[in-house]
Amino acid sequence: MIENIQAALVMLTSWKLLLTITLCSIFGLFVGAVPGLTATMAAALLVPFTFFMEPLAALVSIVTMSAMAIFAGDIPAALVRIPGTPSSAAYTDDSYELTKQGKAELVLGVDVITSAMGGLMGAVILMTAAPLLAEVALTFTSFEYFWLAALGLSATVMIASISPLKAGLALLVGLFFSTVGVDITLGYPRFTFGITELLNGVDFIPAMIGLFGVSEILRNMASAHLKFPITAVKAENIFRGVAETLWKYKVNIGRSGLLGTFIGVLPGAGADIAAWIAYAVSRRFSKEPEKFGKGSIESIVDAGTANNSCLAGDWVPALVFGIPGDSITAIVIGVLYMKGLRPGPMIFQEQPQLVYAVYVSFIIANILMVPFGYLAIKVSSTMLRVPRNILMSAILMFCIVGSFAINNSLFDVGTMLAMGILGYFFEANGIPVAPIVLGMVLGPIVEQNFMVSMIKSEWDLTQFFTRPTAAILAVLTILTWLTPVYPILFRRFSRAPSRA
Amino acid sequence: MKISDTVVGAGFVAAGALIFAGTLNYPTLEAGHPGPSLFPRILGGLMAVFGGLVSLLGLRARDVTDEVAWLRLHKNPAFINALVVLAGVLAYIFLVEHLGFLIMGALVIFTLMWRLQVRPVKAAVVAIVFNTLVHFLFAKVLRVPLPLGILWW
Amino acid sequence: MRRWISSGLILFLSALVLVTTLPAPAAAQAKYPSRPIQLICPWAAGGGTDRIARMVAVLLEKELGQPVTVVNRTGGSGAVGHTAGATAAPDGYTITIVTVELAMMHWMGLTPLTYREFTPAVLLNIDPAGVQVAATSEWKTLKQLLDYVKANPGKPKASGTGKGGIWDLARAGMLKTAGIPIDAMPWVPSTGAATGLQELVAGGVQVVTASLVEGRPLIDAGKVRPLAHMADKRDPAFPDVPTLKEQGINWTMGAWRGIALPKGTPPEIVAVMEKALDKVVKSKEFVDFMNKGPFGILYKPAAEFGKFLAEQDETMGVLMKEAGLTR
Repeated sequence: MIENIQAALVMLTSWKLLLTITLCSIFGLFVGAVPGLTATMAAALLVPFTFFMEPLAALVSIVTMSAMAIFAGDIPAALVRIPGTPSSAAYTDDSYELTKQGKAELVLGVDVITSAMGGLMGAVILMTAAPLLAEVALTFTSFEYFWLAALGLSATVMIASISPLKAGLALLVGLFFSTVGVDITLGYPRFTFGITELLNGVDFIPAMIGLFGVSEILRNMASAHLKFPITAVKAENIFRGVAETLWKYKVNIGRSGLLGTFIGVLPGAGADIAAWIAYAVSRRFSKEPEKFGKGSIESIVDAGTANNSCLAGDWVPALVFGIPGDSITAIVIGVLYMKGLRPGPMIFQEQPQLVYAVYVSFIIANILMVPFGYLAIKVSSTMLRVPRNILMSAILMFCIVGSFAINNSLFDVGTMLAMGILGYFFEANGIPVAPIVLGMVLGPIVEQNFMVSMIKSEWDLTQFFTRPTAAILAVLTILTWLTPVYPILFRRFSRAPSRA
Repeated sequence: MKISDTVVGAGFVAAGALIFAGTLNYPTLEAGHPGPSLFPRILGGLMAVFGGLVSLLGLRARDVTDEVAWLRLHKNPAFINALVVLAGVLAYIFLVEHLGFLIMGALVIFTLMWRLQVRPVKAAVVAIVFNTLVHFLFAKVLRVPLPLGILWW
Repeated sequence: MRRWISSGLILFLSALVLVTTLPAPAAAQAKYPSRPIQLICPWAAGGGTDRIARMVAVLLEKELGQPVTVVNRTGGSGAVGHTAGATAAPDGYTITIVTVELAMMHWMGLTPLTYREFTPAVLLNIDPAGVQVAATSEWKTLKQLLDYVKANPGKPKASGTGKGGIWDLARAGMLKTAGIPIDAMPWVPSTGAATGLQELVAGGVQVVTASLVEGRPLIDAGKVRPLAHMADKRDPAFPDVPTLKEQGINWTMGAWRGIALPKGTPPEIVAVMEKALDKVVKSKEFVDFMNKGPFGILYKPAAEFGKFLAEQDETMGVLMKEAGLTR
């Protein structure tokens, strides 16, 4: 192992590769920070370039770019309440609330450091335990996936909403949106009203931009005369107070790093899902659960660590069994094949240096994330000094172009607008919007795995509890779900929930 | 834009019922097991129940609609601002393929800034420069096929 | 204030006029192709179809001397991109990489679009379906598996894609041709071949009918055993895996991809495109790329591709009717 790492380091220190890493860092930061451009899209955009690249350079570009993008998604989430990538959606409201309280520096500092730490943890786990973890991941069937997604859904009801009922309604709305389109059991088109674009469902990236971003623009417009709440962000001191915060939540970082990596290892579950589940778990064990959704730095520590640690985990099943861990590694598998490399156990024997070079590049990327991230935060914060009326107009244009770019479809711009109006009315009436996004992310996983399980077992419900792993997850999920129900069950019905 | 919880809850009851009704003609799996309809029905049902509860709680708390704000809407400049945003995006959707991104994008930004009391000359310059920059980044660097419309670039 | 507004507007509009009129593009309509060409890909960037599209674009650019850009029009399980490709202006500047779904979607009532809306140019590739079981299973040959299916109808379950997807039809067609009722080995839907293979290894399903190429890393890892290949010939990468035909089941099925133009494209433009594509497909770069892919090459020029499309459409229709998938 040591000699492989040494060989990898030698391979990586050519000036050409260092230049590639630098360029891809900048590219990744840009893509992540612009709403609508996702890490997956950035990886796909790199594909034509990889035709002409060395295999190592191609893989290292994707590693660097995706790590930077997932971090950079936190920046617009904190500054203007638009998650740059879906992986930042879970704690967008918390970040933005803290920014409004004048704590933008702390949020951004915590974002960059936890992202780097999560990424490093993931890389170390990838180095030491990839084949073993892949074996475990392959024992997961639809029963286990169902429970895992159900556990993630509990994040919503736990979001410290003013009214759990209203949060529940928002979740139901999100879940309903996720049922739009061709159904998995019979290929039947549901709620599409004959519109071709809806056959694949409501795309959740334009929806997310609309629910968070456009609704915020509308609220800014409709609150008399552009008194924007964001106080000027000084990015000089982004690392002040970060050390204490991280020390306070050191257990959270360790826990979420492990959790994120493992969720990454599971095929099909990516960084966005890791962030939501870490958020739910964080709330479950928090001493201040009432702060969640209203500006909890703890939630940012947890979910911010988990989504970056997940990235390394995603490579495990891709390298070991050629099964993609998420949409980025699905592209990686394609690139590997194109370069004449076959993912699978053989790659560890035939190309150990290459595999280790991927590991080491994860470490390099996550170390570089701190200085590069610092610069990115500085650049984006200066943009906030632009007068608000100009800034709002520019942000609207980014929302439009970002929604369009996902599928190159104007229909999605319409989706964004509709969701913006919906989000505005929901929030004006005390209904949080984050659960809608959660429902759209996890809804398909819950439904598909439930239906698949039922068809497989010929409608035998007991199998959800009799398989060992499923049983453990079931107990965990049900306990987590019951936490907020307890007080509701025992509270007298005499008093309506107060409203903000 | 506050509406009474009683009304909001009733809205969700109606939405839940509509979702349920929408699944009535869905096909079933072999042996009559529910297929595509199962989840939407559960969701619609829960939505109606939750909505009903919200409605009830609103009734008990005498939660009311902020009628004054609603009646004054047309006089509220902020509301007009929000309408300009909506109209701008709608106009973009329907016109961009004819006029192209360079024109339509700049028009939307300009109109919005102008409405937000940026000085017109400044707004025009910012709109054109910013929009061209966005076009360069997305269409040229990232190769997003932004509509060209009557332009060629 | 008002003066400011009007002067601002005038400035803005005049700037626009300036920008629009300055260096007018070469007006004369020169010989085709005289401007960039769009290649519509109905599937997401980074997937198999997208990778092939991008390789074709790179090589086609060399042949035609004009930039060829891949435009991903995803959504609607391929319906959006195919529709956009078929309804584009028939001037040769928009071409589409069409996939097997073109012959399937309309039978399921997802879109009115059929292959008749396209002018076929070239068939590039086919990835034949396979029959794969877990390495720990008792079945060593296809015959053992099918005998078990006959003896225990409904017990073994197969997966690999959504209901009514290409691998589901491969399963249905194989069973039907072998004289076994289609529902003797029911389909468990999955979101793709990878999910299906994972269920296979974890013991959730017993058979996967996705292509052998997709299962290859797991076959290498000793987790999956290939039993059969649904093509005319054995795959050189799996010389020990027999075809269905060798075992007396006259059935082949696979996922294919080709290039097509909108219907009504002038014949002289189609001819230019066909010639260029012909060269692309036969070039060493393309063949190398496909072999590395690994994608199965199946080259058919325009006329044969047209016949192939008609046959596929009919086969799919019959099968889907039988499987109760048509609407």
